[in-house]
Amino acid sequence: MNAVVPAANLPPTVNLEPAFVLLALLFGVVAIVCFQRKGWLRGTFWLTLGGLFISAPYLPPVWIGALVLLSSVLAFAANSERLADSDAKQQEARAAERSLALGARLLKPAIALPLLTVAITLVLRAVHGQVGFSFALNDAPLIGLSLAAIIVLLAACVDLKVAPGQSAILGARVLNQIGWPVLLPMLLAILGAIYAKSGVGDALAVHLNGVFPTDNRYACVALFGVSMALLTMLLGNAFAAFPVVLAAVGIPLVVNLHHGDPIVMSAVGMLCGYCGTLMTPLAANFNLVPVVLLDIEDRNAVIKAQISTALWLLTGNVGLLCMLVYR
Amino acid sequence: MSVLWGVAVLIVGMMLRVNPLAVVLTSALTTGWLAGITPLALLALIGENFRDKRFLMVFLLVLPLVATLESLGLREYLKRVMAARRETTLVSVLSSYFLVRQIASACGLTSLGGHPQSVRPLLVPLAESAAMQRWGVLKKAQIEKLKAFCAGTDNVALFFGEDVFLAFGAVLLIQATLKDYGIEAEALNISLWAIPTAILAAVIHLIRIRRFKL
Repeated sequence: MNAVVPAANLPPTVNLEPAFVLLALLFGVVAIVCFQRKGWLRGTFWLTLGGLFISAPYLPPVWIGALVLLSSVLAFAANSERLADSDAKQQEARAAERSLALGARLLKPAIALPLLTVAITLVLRAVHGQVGFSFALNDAPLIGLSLAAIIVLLAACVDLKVAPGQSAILGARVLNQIGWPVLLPMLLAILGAIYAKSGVGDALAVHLNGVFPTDNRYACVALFGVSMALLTMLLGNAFAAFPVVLAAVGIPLVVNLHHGDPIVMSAVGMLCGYCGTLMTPLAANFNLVPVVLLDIEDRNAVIKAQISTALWLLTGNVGLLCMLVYR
Repeated sequence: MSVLWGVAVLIVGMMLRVNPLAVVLTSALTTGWLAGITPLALLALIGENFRDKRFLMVFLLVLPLVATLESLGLREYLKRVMAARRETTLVSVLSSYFLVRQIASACGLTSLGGHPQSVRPLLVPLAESAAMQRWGVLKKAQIEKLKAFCAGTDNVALFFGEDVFLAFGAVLLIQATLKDYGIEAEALNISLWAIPTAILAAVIHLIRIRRFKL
């Protein structure tokens, strides 16, 4: 054993790459699940995605970009592909049977996961810089989540007598059901970066300057919250509205001009967007699908039921923004 | 030409309900092109950002655990617990569903509820029988109003619970987008600032449940 470490050596770095490899493996399992059911396009999509997750640090960015576009085309094409049905009904009946025997034991891992995630995160933050390995403080929550997910999964597999491979397949099936929308947050983040690089914010802010009292800091932060809600109603998706409103109002007016706290602004602002989601028929999954599912005649019944919660909460959120952003 | 046409592509595409994947990529390519970025540089920009934003997907690592618990009947267990409660007034049915759903979402268990999984098979029947105890036989319009309110209760509890979980997509998206402007934000910090709104949402919606009349 060589105990002497030369001073020039950097401490080993822990980053998220192992988590990305695990994710890639999960995507690989999804691909196998698809191939087994003759979903060739879908399977290729997941396989490409998995490959990209592992190889991204080593490939030239132009190649990654090209492969991202290619996998989006695959996802698009796979949309029309129909997979052989699985035995969902049977599984449900079996689940009801098993849950009788297992009962509260099923609840323990569900509670342990978030608790362990937060615990590991807090420990990592506390020991940052004082241990034999280095890591970025920003990575701490996700390192915590990855470790907690693995530890709790293995413990649950032992306690509930399930093979870990079986649970990977179950997870893969859920992922396959969600399909390409799983990529949306990531693509919207990429879109946000391109907007930032292209100067969309400045171009929008120029139009605001003449018509809006930009020198009032409370008016600016209120504008941020209300625009999040309105643009979300227009787009049907708060994630898509966020990069636009951040670029147009959040960064130039609230952060740069009035020195507001960008973190509080973004967190509460996103939730203003969610108030918009409650009020728009474009958020079909939440507002239109239940109408069909619950056999309701009035297409807008769910939106009508939600509108006063949404408006009160939006008012409250704008109040929170005014109080908290300029602490 | 102004880069704002790229934003217009996003807005029009989403409003016309074109596949979001296609809309987002078209908007990205248009905006970059209008800003004078060469096609190769644009591909590289997409590639770099894909590489640096992979962390947005790490939350998917909990899926095997969640899927396993669900296949073993976690949902059915919670259904039994809810259904076995003695006092079943409409207010208590809706409030307890709301709180369980919001707290579970805040723990990252967003798929425990939902319209197909629990609103239709669990919440609506419980709410209907509780409402009939109070108002007698219900008219069709009343039943529909009740169903819509049940669906809305699920939505509100989900939306304003999930943001509290530090590995939820929105939290990570905020982290990634702020970074483009040189602002370092910690996921834990972002998710903590979702708590005041979560409490506010619970207060507002629970008051509405209390005042709900058919």
